[in-house]
Amino acid sequence: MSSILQPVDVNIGRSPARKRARYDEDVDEVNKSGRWSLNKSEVVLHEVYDHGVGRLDCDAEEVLTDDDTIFNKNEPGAIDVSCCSMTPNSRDKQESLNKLTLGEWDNLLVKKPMIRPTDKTNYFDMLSDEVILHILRWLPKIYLMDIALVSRRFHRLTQDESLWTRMDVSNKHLEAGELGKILSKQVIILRLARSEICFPPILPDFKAALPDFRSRLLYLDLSMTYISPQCLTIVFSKCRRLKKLSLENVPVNDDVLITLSANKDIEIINFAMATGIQEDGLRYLLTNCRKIRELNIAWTYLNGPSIQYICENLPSTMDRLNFSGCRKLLSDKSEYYGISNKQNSI
Amino acid sequence: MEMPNIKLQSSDGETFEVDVEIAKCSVTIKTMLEDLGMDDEEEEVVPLPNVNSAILRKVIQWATYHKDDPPPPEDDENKEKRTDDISSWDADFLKVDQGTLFELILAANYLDIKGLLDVTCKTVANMIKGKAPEEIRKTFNIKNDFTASEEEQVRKENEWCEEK
Repeated sequence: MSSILQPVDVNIGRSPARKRARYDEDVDEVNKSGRWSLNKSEVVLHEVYDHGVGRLDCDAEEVLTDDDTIFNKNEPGAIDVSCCSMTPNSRDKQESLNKLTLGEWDNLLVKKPMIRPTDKTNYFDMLSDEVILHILRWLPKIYLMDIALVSRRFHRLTQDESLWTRMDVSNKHLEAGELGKILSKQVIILRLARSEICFPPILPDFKAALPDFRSRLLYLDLSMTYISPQCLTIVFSKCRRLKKLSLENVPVNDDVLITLSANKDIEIINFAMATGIQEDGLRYLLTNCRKIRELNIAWTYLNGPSIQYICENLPSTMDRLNFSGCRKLLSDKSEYYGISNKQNSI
Repeated sequence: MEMPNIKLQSSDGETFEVDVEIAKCSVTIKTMLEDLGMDDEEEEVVPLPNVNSAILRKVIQWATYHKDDPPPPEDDENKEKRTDDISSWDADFLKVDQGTLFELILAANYLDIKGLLDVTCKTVANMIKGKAPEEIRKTFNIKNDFTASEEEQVRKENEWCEEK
């Protein structure tokens, strides 16, 4: 068998699409020279076998592209048949092969729906939205932009909120309005650590700019983010569901804390090294947010009354409080509260 | 100890005899067996009208190789997904034409075999990764059905994604 196949092995390594095209050309040539011909059923058999699936047909002219990457891999069996049918010497073998399998192929052809040619088939058409989302979920967000530009369907699918639950936009420079685009995706977990956020964070024309837009953000990491209090106030005005927030080393003011206090379910806040925290803001925060479990106000250089206020108004849910760097300012009384709470902290 | 076998019938009528434990990696088959109490019955044939014999053969091959794998971990939204962890056996197994790959995805989804669905979807994700929109269209024969202005709008929406 292999000695018969040798002369036509030049085709191995090419895509089957190329093989088929060559095969058809060769058929035309030999037909002209009148040496031998193929009947219709043999052609069908060949094509069916070539696909390895047994139910596809194809126009050879449509697939003559060099960058056809669809068939990088093919079953050796397909090559064998293709080669046999191209060699006049092996016509007998081809016929016996034909007899052996024709019934099977016919059976497949009759019972199966015909799928359009492999080479031009958009196989995504076979998949439900749900399954395509399952594929897209494996891609880093950065690639979703390219995918959104592929077609209307892909654009719609890349908007699916399930793809945007988690985003890491750390160490980036976000121009004006770009944070608004991210929020419009309805991200749930967002890291902006050490990024630079330009003002204004949200520009009109995007969902997040609508007055009634409510972000689904639960976890927001703004550690060492370069963001102005003005920006922060706008961002927090869109948030109602925050649970965990880091504002480490970020300047804030009363407005920021007042807007933040609308997130009544917030549980963990890290203010370490944050500047600008004052009594008024704290008052709103601790009055509205009664579910805080962890509060880190280390090295915030709070003034005496602020610390006093915190100590006297800690939510009952609090089990971790980090006061590091504020001890000098602790009065006897606040120290008592602070320490009793700190005992629970790690 | 002898493992009981089960017969699976593909859409084109071919029957495959498979170890029950291997067949049960498909949640669909597992549920079917439990619901119908087909466990004890011998010579029971489970029809799988959505899977043809070529694909079912590959699915069984995959399930047989992976029969001793620990159950796949639950999806964790907090973890970044990885697609570079496909085993070399799976990578070889999935060196197939696009039609077969997509039919395997369909079958894995229908049969509810999470491990196979994940690895086939990862493989397609890897084929998408790093490609420009036009390259993606070419690779998968997707038609660009945007108008020029729509395309511009989508481009604007996503500008922030660019690496800075």
